[in-house]
Amino acid sequence: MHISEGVLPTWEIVTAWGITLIGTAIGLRKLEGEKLVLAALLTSLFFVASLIHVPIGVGSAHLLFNGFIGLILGWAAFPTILIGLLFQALLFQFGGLMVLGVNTFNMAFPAVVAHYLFKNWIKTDGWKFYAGAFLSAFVAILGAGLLVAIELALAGEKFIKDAELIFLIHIPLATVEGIIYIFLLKFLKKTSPQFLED
Amino acid sequence: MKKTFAVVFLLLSTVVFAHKVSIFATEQNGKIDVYGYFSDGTPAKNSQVEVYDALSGKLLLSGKTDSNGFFEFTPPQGVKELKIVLYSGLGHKAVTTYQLEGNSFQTTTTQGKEKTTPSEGNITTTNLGTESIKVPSNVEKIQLILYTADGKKEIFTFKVGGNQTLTKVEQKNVNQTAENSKSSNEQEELQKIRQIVNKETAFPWAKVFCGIGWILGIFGILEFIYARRGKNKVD
Repeated sequence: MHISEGVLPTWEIVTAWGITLIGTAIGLRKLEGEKLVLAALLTSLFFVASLIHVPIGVGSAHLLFNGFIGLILGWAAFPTILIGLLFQALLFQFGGLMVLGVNTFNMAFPAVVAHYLFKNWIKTDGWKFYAGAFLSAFVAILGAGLLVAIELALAGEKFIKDAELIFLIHIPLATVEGIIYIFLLKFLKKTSPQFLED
Repeated sequence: MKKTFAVVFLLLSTVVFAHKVSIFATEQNGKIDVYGYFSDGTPAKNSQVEVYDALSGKLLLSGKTDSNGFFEFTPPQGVKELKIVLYSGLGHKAVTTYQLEGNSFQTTTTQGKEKTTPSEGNITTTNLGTESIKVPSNVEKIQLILYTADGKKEIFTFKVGGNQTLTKVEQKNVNQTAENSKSSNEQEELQKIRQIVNKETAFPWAKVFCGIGWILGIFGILEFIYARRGKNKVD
């Protein structure tokens, strides 16, 4: 999911940095009160999650947790993922500093989309809670994969082949994460429901 | 949130770490072997490999790794330094440069060592996954030795028939460590690759804690700034 340095043309990198910075500015405005502490913990979670490899036949995929971050933090997913990716790039050489903007946009934007689609669903108690938690993983992960495929297609790679790979790898991954989200959200709802309020 | 993290760390201890593609190149039989692998140790299969002249930037040749992550090529004459790029799809890419000095190779990423090839009248070709091998007409029996990245060695013996047909006579799986064969330098080679792969794929505990510390620190500073502005009313 992390795009490497030197794959994308400059205009894509610059555009993505622009969107990322706008998103980060909006996100920082929304980080208030206890949410800031939660954002710190979620950043750490995101930072570590990418090291967890989910063995899927055709390739290597890792946990992302961007859907979970998006559901809870909304726009604040941008600064959260930006900082998480920064340290992944510095310490593990995942992605790189130039492409940090692109990678942040790829993972944070679908997370924000998942937030607006499902934030009301997870406030309920019935099937909508489970469906919302589970589907947010699909929206966030497949959305991120789709953005990667589109960017690579704009850079001249074959879109169909990449899109195929993305679906092969990321549907099982999204299923695994969807189940994790349900447990995490159930726990959060029980212990600190105020985080799911807005 | 404490419980959440307990869950995460439990997961960490059982699964391996992944998602960076790396490239490793060695010289063998006057050819260059390129090995691509992900950070969890799985080989980068069917990945695009491009070889450039590092000085002029000209594309020399390209190809794909086989199902074991290997790609083999003969470097063209007159090139002093090679740049080898591996694309493993979805924007993953690894680069290494290689210096060619006369017949010996030195890699800038790892220490390359000049090696002599085993001399047993082997019909060369160690490129796994290719379909066709040219067999000289006077040969009756051929032996294929297959070295896999995890240290196994498989020996296939084929009988060459009249119409260029091959009949498999024997297949032996030899465990690398139990074997005292004459091709010790190949074992050495594999040992070296495995050591590097193992080193790079070990779980980076120190870096994980370092990163978490930094992240919490940055949010601590944010909290401080917000509190100073009176924006953040905790308690």
